[in-house]
Amino acid sequence: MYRTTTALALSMAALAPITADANPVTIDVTIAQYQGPAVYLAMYLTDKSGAYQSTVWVAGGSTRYWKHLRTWFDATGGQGADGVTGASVGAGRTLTITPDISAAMIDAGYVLHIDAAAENIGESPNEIQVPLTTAGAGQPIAGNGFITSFQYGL
Amino acid sequence: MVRRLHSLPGLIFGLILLVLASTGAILALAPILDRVQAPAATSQSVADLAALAVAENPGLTKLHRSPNGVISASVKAKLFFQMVTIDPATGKARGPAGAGGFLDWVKELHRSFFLDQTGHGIAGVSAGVMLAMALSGLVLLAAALGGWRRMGQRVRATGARGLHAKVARLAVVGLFASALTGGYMSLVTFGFINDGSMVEAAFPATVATGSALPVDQLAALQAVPLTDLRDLTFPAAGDPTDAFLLQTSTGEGYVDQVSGQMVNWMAYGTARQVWEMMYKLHTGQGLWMVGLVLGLSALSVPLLSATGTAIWWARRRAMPRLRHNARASVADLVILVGSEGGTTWGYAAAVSDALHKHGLRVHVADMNDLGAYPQAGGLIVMTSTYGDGVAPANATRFLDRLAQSESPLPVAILAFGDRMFASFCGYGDQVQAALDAAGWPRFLPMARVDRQSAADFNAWVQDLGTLLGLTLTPDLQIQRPKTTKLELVARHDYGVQVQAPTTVLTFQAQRPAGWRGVFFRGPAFEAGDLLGLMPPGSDVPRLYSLASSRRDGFVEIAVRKMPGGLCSGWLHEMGVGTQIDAFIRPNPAFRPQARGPVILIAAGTGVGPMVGFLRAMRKGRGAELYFGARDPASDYLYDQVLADAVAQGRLSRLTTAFSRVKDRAYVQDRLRTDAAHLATQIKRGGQVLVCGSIAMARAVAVEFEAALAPLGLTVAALRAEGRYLEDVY
Repeated sequence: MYRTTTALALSMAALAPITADANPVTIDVTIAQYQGPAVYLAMYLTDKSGAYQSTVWVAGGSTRYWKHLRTWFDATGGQGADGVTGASVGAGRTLTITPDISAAMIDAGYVLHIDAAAENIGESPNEIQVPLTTAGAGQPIAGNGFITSFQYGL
Repeated sequence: MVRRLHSLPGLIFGLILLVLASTGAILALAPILDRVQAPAATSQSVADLAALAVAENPGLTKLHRSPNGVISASVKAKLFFQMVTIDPATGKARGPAGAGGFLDWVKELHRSFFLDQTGHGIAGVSAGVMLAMALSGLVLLAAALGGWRRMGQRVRATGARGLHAKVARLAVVGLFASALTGGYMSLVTFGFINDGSMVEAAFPATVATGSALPVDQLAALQAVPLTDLRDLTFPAAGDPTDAFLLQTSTGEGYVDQVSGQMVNWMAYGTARQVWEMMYKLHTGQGLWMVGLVLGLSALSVPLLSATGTAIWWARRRAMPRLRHNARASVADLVILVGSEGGTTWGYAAAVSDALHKHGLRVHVADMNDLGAYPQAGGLIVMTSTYGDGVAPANATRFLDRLAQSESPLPVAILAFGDRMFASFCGYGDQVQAALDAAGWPRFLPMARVDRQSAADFNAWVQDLGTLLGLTLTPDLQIQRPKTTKLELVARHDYGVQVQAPTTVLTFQAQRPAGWRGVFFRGPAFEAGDLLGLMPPGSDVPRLYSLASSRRDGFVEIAVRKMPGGLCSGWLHEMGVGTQIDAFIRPNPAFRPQARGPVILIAAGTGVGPMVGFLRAMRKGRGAELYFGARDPASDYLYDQVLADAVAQGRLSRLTTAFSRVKDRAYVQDRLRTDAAHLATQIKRGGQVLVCGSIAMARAVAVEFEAALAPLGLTVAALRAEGRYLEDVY
């Protein structure tokens, strides 16, 4: 028991510097029911001037297909982004992620964008476009292409 | 080496390949289903269809045509995309697109095992493994058949081995194509190969102003026949700055909503065309016949994995455990083994153990492991031959290593082989020649063991023991074959008056009691296979050629009584009703060809297998038999059976030669007389089968050399084609 507590305390101490300025934001995205391949999603942030800041998450690992996430792909200069990718999301499924978004970005004019696209079906650029605010947290929004429900929690 | 490259990945990736192949075979049905469902091709243009579809499907965003001709549409009516198939005649939606839930599920399993990128990676690596297995399998098959030019030859192996080779030969092209195209697609997915998809037509810098034309009046869409369409993406509703994106089989470009003109057309490059071809080949899209062939080939994979595993397991089991293997650095004597199937290891282990009993330190290793042996006084090489004089699997690098070795030892070679092959112990001969050339002295002359003959082996061990001054008693741990109980049901004796007592023994397999007897069919065997018998007081089996096949319903052999012969003496004393244990040793190398003339030549009991062949021969096949014996009144074996065969047309020509009567003649004398006829039969594709004593077979070969000379042919050339077969004793 004694040992476990020490180990826990040590690991908590190691995590401390990260938790200080990074907020674990929870994001849930639910995809519509349709027949066909899974959806690729790109979530990224723009600042109050509308300039691209960073990529939050990319669902779908085949880089060949990333060009169909059009506004994101163009914003990254045709590069995409590494290190923040997971699996594409099947029809009717919900994707839940907890990316680290700095506390300084909340209520500071930062906007979260989601591009969605699925092979042979179509592209839905900027399907979600929502300012990150304390008031907006926990408010579900619907898209109009693939996303039936989106919300973030702080 | 090649064998390991073939079996190891096969065992590791077996299950994954099984899944890939089974799902692939199912997916091969998709293009065929599409073809059934796809509407007949019409002269419609893209503009015609687009107009119909857009009128019937509000919210249409994209039209897609599969290479099989199925047209689907993405529709975003109110909210969210839906995919529907479109009837091109009316533009109406028929129902949800996609081949259906099950096929989509199978497709995802095939592409990624539901593991997304990881799964794509596994599938890609598996494609590479399949490619390696197809290539290594081809190399192994070529070696087994005796060379690349003989790939079309009959596969001689039986059981799992034979089935594996026969099925693989049929399926290898399809499997190779599937693996190659699948591997290519995987490399594209991971960005290692450019498929040209990153190059896109540029979006028009300016668009014409005015009101948008109806879709059917867009000139650029009118100009493209529907059969060329890949994708047509509609402009965003109500956005006058947007344009149509048209993608065809040859290129892509934008179509202005207002002017109807093509803007920024870009023809696809080579990389994109290669992708198209690979994709079509792999999926059968637009090439349903190819898809069918690939699908059928994929069906072979379960069978190939099962037989492949069985072969691997049998080879492993044949590998004996070496109990007292000394290290190379301290060994008094070294035994190097060259073995394809592992059998030779059993002989090496027996020799090693026998020497160990006298306190000798023996090191046994693969021939490929030839190294330095500082303490050793001698080297024994025991090697088999693979196919037509090729090194067995674990000896492929031996000659190279020998060339580098600088410490010659006295050496003795024991070569294992099959006298039926053109180059009997051919690899052993090569090794002996190389050792002679490299200056390794012989401490025993090279010896040969024919078809695992225990007698040949024991004779060599006696020689070795005499040389070393030791009494060697090797305990051969060769697996005894499974025996069947046979009962002697009839015997016919011949030849007593001419000092050649011979008996034809007819056995019947004993049906087991109880339920196991219900499905009992007896052991499987063909005429010409060998019956193995163990006489009382001996554990060395004797082999006799079978004069019947299972279809005949009895097991028959002809046995000549040899002076002092333990086994033949026992069989000649045997009374009807006696039960014995026996096993079948397949001899697939000695069979008549399925088509073309067959010339059977036999003397004495050698007529046994020939009678067996004739019992199964089709009427009017034109089979001929030359049969030599001593006296028609005494040792004319099977006289009645042969007379019946002639009467029924299964034997079209019977020529006999008797050596103890007036006008004495041997079978070779008859061949000399018929030389011109024999040459004609050979020219027509004829095959010669000889069965009898070694002396008789030599005399027959001499006659054939003479008869073949005018044709510019030799016995050796016919042998190489499997058209001159001998079963001699």
